[in-house]
Amino acid sequence: MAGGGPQLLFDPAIEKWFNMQENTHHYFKFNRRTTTHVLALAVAFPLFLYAGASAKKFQMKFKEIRGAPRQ
Amino acid sequence: MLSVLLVLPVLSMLTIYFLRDSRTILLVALVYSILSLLQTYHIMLLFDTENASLFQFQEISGLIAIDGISLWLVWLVNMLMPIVILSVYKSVAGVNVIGGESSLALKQILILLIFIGFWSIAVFVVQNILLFYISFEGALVPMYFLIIHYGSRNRKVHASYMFFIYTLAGSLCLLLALLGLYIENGTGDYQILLMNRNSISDVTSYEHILWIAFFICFSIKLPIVGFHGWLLAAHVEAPTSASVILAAILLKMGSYGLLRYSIPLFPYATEYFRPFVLVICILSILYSSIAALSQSDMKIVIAYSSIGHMGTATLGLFSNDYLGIQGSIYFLISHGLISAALFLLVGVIYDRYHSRNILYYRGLVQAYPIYVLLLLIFSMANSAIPMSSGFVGEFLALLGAFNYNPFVAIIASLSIVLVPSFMLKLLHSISYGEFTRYMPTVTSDITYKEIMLFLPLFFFTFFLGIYPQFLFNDILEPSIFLL
Repeated sequence: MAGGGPQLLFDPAIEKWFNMQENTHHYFKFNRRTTTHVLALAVAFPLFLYAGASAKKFQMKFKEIRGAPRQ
Repeated sequence: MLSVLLVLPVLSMLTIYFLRDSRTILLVALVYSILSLLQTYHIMLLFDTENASLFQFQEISGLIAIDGISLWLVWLVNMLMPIVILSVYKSVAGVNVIGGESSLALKQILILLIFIGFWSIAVFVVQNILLFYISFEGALVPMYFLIIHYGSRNRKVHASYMFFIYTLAGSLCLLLALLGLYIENGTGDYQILLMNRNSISDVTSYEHILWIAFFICFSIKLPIVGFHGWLLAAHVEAPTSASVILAAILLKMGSYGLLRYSIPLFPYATEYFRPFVLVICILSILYSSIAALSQSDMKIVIAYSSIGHMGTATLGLFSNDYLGIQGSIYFLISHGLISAALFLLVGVIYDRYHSRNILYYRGLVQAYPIYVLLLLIFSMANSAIPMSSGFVGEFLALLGAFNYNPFVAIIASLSIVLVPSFMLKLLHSISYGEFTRYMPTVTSDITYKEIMLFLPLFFFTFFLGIYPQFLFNDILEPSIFLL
């Protein structure tokens, strides 16, 4: 609030770290490491998940597996 | 009966506009919001449980109506409005915010918040798809003004534009699809569109295109990973009350759109794209949780938590399983309560020290034991511990996903580990250890008035966790069954 209340002792190092973390996307570049990460996390892993999500063998049909309920 | 829920916010805004005194403004806003809440309970009591699957209380020539699902979401909005109004008063009253009188600032903020509440209720009750679009977009403008005028830093301009344009771009896709549906059917009435949905399904590619257009819009609103950038910026720069409304209510519009429009109107396209949506949900859960682990801003941690939880809710929604959809709706309501509490807690500490940086806070339990207790309770509720409403919703959503595809559910279940990890990290970082050296002076603990904001949230979070049948009653279940 304007003008009153307790204040934090702002640390320039913490503020700099905070600003760097907030603006990290401004410093992104495609180098060998980041390209590997992007390919792994944005391409390979989603494809792996899609393969599992669309695979018919993973789609459970409990009634067929379990059989008819006991009378 | 139902239209009263739309009239009361309008009357509230008009009355507040002509008032001058801060306390009177607050009292009027509070009275109207409590009247809306009482009217919601009144509607619940009068709700015909024998025909619960049908839309009831049709008014204004059938333009508005409510079923079990909408009723609980409207309850969530009306339950949170008094809390948001009181949180605004706590932050604004007696303080020069924009260089003018505090009562003017209070008036402006309250009118904007009540306006958002009005559009939120409209989204959940309108029966015309074009009105739905207008209501969906209507909440953007007051939120834009809240962020750009009452945000805390210079970045608020960027954040407000990002929020507005991002959501608007998605809504453009929705508008084009709606116009296509309107031209095809000659009407925007939801019931008629439902009856005619087979004619849409006759042309597969046409249904797919419409589904994609709807999905782009709602996935931006949810948001899912990939479309989530606006949420982080908006949450960080928005004032506490706007963050509460954004997380607890506005995000539910995306899920509601999927639930009410995408899935019922385009069933074959939903089935076709189901694996794709499940993959995106899992990515939302995993990536948001991992990203939250490395954040220094408390609000960004909770914003990432919201993204992950919306992923879990959408996972249950697209599980094609009754339990999954039940869990998804339960999770939406639970998330509304818990995220509201978490943002309010961040607001409590921000009001005192004007920083959300985790690195500045440590050992707060020594000076603020009650605040840390509340933070512990709601952090654990956010982590879906048993006896919290989050547990019921998450369990059912994952169970529904397991019933559809165990591979998907097993990977999504990693959220059970990841979400507590970043919540505990946040809790532990700021609460325990040696007291921080960055706080030379310490205020009193959380005040009685601030605790009052959390009591209803605490009550419903754990009441719904212990007695979920309160929600899974004759009002909600038939509507889900019909879906």
